Amino acid sequence: MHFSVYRYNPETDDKPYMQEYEVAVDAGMMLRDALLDIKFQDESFTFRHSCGEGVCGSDGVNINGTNGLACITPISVLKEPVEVRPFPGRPVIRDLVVDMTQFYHQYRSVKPYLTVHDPEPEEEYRQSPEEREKLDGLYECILCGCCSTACPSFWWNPDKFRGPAALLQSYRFIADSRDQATAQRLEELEGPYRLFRCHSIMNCTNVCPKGLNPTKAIGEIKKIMLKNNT
Amino acid sequence: MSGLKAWLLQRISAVYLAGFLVYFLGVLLVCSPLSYADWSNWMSSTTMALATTLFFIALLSHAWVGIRDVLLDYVKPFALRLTMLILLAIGLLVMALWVIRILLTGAAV
Repeated sequence: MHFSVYRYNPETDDKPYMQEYEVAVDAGMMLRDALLDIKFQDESFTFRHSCGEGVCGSDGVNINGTNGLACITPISVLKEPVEVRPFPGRPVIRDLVVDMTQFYHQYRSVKPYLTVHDPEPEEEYRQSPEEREKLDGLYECILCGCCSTACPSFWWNPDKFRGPAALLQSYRFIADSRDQATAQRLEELEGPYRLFRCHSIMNCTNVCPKGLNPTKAIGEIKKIMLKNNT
Repeated sequence: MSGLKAWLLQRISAVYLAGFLVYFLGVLLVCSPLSYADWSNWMSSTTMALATTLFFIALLSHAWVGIRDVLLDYVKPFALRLTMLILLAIGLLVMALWVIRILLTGAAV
């Protein structure tokens, strides 16, 4: 099978180029296996990967124009030649490895942890099954970055717009019955950039390898803002 | 105006624009006014005059939020962005005055 892979080593290359590789494929092979084979053929090639089963979120790449995790993308569904590029809009460190600093910065900015002002309970925080259910579709995010790096609003304003991944996490804590910082969380998202650069084009939802829906979460945040402001 | 208020204005004006356009074009398609007198009567009835005025208010505010969004996304240099926002504001304001003139002259006839 024919692969066309983005190559760039800032220390030796003037500019990025695409390199062609042939990989002998087996049934059930994932794109990550093909990339490993390419690395075996040419050890100067590099990419991030770890768990190999869509849990760690390390091997997010742009596959034939769409972001996804290489380890859970079967090569049988890919059109030849398979074009593999780094995430769009991120600075390339080398080959498929990109700098995700801004992505993590935005994630940190939404304070992705439980904030409770009351004294801690003696034993545990209680939550009803219904309250817990509200977190489904939110807590499963593995922070691979496929969504935010597929989002044009994040491409244009990665320093100011939180991006779909961070906003999904923000809503994960706004929706949490145990969290007591909803008002501060909402206030922090006001203004033209942090939340409202989202124009609901749904690239994020389209590419999420875990099948989550950041656009819906962003809509829910807007709804709660509206309710609290009237 | 930014954030939630701008977003809300954009949504509400969009709903009104869609509703008005469906009604307006529907009337033109189904029972189009046959003469200028019919047209003039229809357009200058209190409800229609009010609805048309609201339509242009909605249109211009929708345009302000929408184009401002595009400028915030794509135009980075502050001076250029400010200039374009001012030009946009002036343009929309001139259109608003023009619409007011047309509506008032229409009402006078």
